[in-house]
Amino acid sequence: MNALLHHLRLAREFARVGVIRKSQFRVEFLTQVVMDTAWYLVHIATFEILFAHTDSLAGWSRAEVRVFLGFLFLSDAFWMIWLGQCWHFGRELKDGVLDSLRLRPGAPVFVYFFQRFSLEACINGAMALGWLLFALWDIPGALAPLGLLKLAWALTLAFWARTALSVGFTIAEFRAVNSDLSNLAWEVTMTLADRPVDVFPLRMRQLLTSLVPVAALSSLPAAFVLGRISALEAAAHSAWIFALGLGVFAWWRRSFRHYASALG
Amino acid sequence: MSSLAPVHPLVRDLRLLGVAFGYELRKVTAWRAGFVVRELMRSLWRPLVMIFVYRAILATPDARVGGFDFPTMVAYLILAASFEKLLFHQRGLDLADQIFQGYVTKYLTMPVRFFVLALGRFVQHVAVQASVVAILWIAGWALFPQWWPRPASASAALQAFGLVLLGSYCAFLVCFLVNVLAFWLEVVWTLSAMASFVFSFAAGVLVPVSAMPDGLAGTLRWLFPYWAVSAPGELFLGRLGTPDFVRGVLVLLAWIVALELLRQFLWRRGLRRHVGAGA
Repeated sequence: MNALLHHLRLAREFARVGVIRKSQFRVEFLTQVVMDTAWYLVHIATFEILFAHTDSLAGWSRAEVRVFLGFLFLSDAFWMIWLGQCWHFGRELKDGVLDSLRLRPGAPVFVYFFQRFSLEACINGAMALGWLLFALWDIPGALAPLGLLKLAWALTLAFWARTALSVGFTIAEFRAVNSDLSNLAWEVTMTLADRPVDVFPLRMRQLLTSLVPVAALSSLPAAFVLGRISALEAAAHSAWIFALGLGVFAWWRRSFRHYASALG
Repeated sequence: MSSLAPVHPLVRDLRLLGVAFGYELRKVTAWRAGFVVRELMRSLWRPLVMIFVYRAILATPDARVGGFDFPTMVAYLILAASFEKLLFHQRGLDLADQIFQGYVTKYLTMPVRFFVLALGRFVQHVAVQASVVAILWIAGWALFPQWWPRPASASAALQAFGLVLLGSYCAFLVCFLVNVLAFWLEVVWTLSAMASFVFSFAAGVLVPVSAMPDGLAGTLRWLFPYWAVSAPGELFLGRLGTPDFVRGVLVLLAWIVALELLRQFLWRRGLRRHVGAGA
């Protein structure tokens, strides 16, 4: 419990520093908000155009895909708010600037990945939440008390999966330095997460809901809130992805023990 | 004596271009794992994943999206992935970093035009990606002959390739312009990323422009991304003809002229306010 409180205090400090940093770079603040807004609009436009040609996409209706996009946007906003540092991991590992991570006041996984708080992504997070609520408005019972409970569960699952995948992909960089493998993995992951998982063949769906739980970023949470999967199924997925996340963090810590640089 | 004769600026630039191209080629192949990841796999995923989306939409034989049945859509997406690989990529230029860190100062004291060095990177990009695409196409024809696109005619293939090259040069100029904004802004990567999203959509990488609503498609036909990916794909498949190719060349040339003038203007203005103390 003490450790959890300690890391929450660290998170608060990261947020404070992030806010101070962004107050100095106001244009960056604006351009990042606009960038993510463009990303949202491109996704919405793409699916709206596709639904002009069909009524169903692998069993997902237009209203359901809008909910799916809400989860995609919100889990992306969480990633941008807290986990933006993972994008720089490969370069920093190559440059050998991670030594101080061993001395910092917290678990290296947490301190490294959560250090870059993004205030502008909070604006995008608010927009994404607005879109999700707009999409859920058309779903009967989705905004009732039980529906909101399921929503909180689904969002927790999406955020946990984001964190586990962000950390997990960087492990590849320990094996192939300066390969950009983690960024490539993200690029592929985001491409796969951008579509409801049901469009993929069975074997691929199984992979994306188990070993590489890309579906947990958007498809599974949306399916749970929409009642496409039962609470029991959602619980099973959540338990597995939680355990997988813990395993990934342990694996990262073990890989980091072998990290050495000229200064290390 | 001939080596002491004054060299024409164009000849000097061409020599420099050759040197820059060789240097960039060595640099990009220096890290083997990075080379495979960055150069071979770049830009392939999004169009290929869309094949699964269209498989779900075009499940019945008579289903169509903008006149495309499923096999034609697969062919189009393969073409879109191939053409997008040939387009200059935002990560291909690190000019903004050089401006931020003051390195660009050294180029101003050297007797060479800085733009030729960047142009060397463009030539390297096109050469490497054209080789990668050629290998992918040979493999694709061997492994998936029933799905792999076949050109409507030899001239259709050449016309498509010509448009893609002109479009790639437009993309290069846009990258250069976004990077040059670093003279005024603290951060430009967000603008690069935004340009990339908008470009993909406007180019029809995920949804062919001809499948979009008429008003939107009509607007996009005046922008260079359409003529860099979507139109070459449709030309290759025989869905567009030579008059469309001519219109595409004219639109792309107009864009090149406009972007080049803007590039020269911003570069000169940027250099005037640039300070690289200690670099």
